[in-house]
Amino acid sequence: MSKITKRGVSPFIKRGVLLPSMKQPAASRPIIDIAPPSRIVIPLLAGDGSECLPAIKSYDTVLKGDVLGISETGDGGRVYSPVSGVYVGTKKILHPIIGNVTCALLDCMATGGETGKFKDTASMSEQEILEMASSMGIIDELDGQPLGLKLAAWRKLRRVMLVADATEQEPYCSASRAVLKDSAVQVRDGLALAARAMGAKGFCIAVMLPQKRLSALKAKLNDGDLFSVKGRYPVELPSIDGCIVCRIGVQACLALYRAAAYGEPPCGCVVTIAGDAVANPQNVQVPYGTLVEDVLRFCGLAHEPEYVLLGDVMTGITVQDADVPTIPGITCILAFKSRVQSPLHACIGCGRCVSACHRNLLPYEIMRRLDNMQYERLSQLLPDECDGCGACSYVCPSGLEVTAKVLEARDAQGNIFMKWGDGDEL
Amino acid sequence: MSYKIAQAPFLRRGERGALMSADVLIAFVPLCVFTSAYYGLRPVFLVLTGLTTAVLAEAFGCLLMKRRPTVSDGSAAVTGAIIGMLVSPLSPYWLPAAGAIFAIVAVKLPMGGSGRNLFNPAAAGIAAISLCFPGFFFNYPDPGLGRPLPLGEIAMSGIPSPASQLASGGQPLYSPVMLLLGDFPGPIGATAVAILLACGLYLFVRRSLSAHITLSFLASCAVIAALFPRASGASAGSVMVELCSGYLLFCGIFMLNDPVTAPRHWLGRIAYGIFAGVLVMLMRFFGRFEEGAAFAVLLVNAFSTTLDHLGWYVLNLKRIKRIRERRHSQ
Repeated sequence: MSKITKRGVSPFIKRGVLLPSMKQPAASRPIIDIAPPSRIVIPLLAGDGSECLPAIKSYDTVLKGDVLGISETGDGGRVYSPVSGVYVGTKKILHPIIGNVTCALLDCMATGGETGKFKDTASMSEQEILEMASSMGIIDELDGQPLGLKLAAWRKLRRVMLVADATEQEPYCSASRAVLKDSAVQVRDGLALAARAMGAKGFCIAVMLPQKRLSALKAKLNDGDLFSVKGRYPVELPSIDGCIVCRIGVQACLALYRAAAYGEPPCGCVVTIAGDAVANPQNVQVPYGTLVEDVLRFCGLAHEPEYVLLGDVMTGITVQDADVPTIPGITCILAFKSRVQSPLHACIGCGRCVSACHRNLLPYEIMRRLDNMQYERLSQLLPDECDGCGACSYVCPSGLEVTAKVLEARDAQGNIFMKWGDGDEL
Repeated sequence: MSYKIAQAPFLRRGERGALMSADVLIAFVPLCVFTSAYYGLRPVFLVLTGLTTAVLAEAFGCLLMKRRPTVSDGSAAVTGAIIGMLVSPLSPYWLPAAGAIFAIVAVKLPMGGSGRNLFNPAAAGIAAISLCFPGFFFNYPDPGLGRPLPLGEIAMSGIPSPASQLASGGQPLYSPVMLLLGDFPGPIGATAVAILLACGLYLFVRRSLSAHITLSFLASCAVIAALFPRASGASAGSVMVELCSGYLLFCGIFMLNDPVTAPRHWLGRIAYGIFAGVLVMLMRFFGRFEEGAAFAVLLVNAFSTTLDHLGWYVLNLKRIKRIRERRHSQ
């Protein structure tokens, strides 16, 4: 059995928090393809964050998988069309996650889903797999980076374990486990391809499932393919069996396999639509660039939502307007009619945040020093170690925005105003 | 169409500070029932006097200082109730009221109110009344009277408690069973040892009590009591009498676990508990009064923040050094 090495474990204290599971009923329903929306909006942003220029002229017809934009810097970053359609033009929008960005507008056309002939993937060389991942424009849904770039960068590392992360520790998202339920073998084969391409020592699919569903999944796969993760939110995977862990998404594995075996271009991403304002919570196969309002309308709204979130409840971002496109890296869209909130008080110093923090920080103290403007003493508390998991705000009985404050401290490390205490630096 | 904005995480556990105070007040109920079985309703009224006075003092104080009223978080009620629980059943009604007013007006509000007080207000109130009125404070009635105390004015001299017998070098007359059952003179809420332990367990389950603080506190007290027994006989008996007498156990369960003044990091909490235990025993051995736990709590509160940060730094020295080096190399 594989052994996971944890870091920073202190005696008598259970780090992290126990989150309720809200994955039902979406997790047990089948994945549905969204009815093609009339228009989609694709941010012209390459995987490395550089802006792209449109590669085609207005009113050109593009097919699924065609190049839409090429990076200005000329390092080969590309944007691929997730659907077939007519390119109408560009438009500047303000996206809550990626900021100001130029987008390409596509009018969608319905196309017959023809699949290519099956091709044996065993004969593909490492270079071929990497090139195919790049040229097909497969994007890792965990972080929105191109899979080809990620795998090529990891080739330099030694003793690497490639892990397809299907843990989905946050309460609502169930996209990965739905994909795994439908096509576990294909995901495993895709993962094996990726592991071969980057020269990994081994690979496994990390899951966090109840015993019954775990054994159902085990029946489909070989022994040792699955790695069952246990613990409180958030569980980190720093190393397995002494190897460095590199994480890719389950859907990226599936897309890689389909591209290699059938020559299919990737068509988007499975997104969990849930929340108490949604009439039919389910997992939906959505092309990148579909507007959030189209996705919500497809699932039906039981109530007029007060909050709409991109991402899951612990790390997601609320949007003011549903007029924004889905982008890679988002596997969950939630709509709520209200929220639970503790009444605001001053910090009573209960220490809940300290025992919840899995990075062993002192969130209350970081927050206090930020509020008291003791910026010079802030960096001693290592706010840059925070990964924004949200556990400290979740447990706070005074309803304070602890996570937001700690992230503010982290992001302000290089800020010139934060250095007014350090006499020798200014 | 415009939606509301909220900061991540969107989901909250929904626990409230007021519920944590309510837990402590709930734990006081069986203690009050127990003492009323011995002394009638007078102790209950004493506790209620302390509670009401503290709440009123907090409300008026907030009004006068034009602050947002913080009565609703329940911390003032807990402070008042603790003071009421620690006076003698024989004390006049103004005694817990005076302690509560001192705690709120002189200790809590000037330091910034709820969540910002450096010192435990209840400990300060107890310390003030035991310094000013030791004659009333340490005058404990005999539990074996067999009839309820009068509710009105009372002029009765009590009998020596186990703590005072220890302090005067005499042999305590109470067997371990009597101590466990609470059949000995002492403050209203501090004699029912078995019920106190059950309350501690309840608060631990409700996460209002930190096992790090309470266990290290009791352990250090027990070790000192075993090493330097004041009662003749076996050291086990000495440990039993020292832990059960006075309001040491009450202090370890309720006063030291006040979230505002206790450290938050587990190592700091252990150090805090040990430090408090040593100070409490020193107060008993060399102090003027038979029981000085409130003074010890106030003293150790002053070191709380330092212990907290020290504990964290000691554990994270390597990490801080590594990150410093990484930052310099950039």
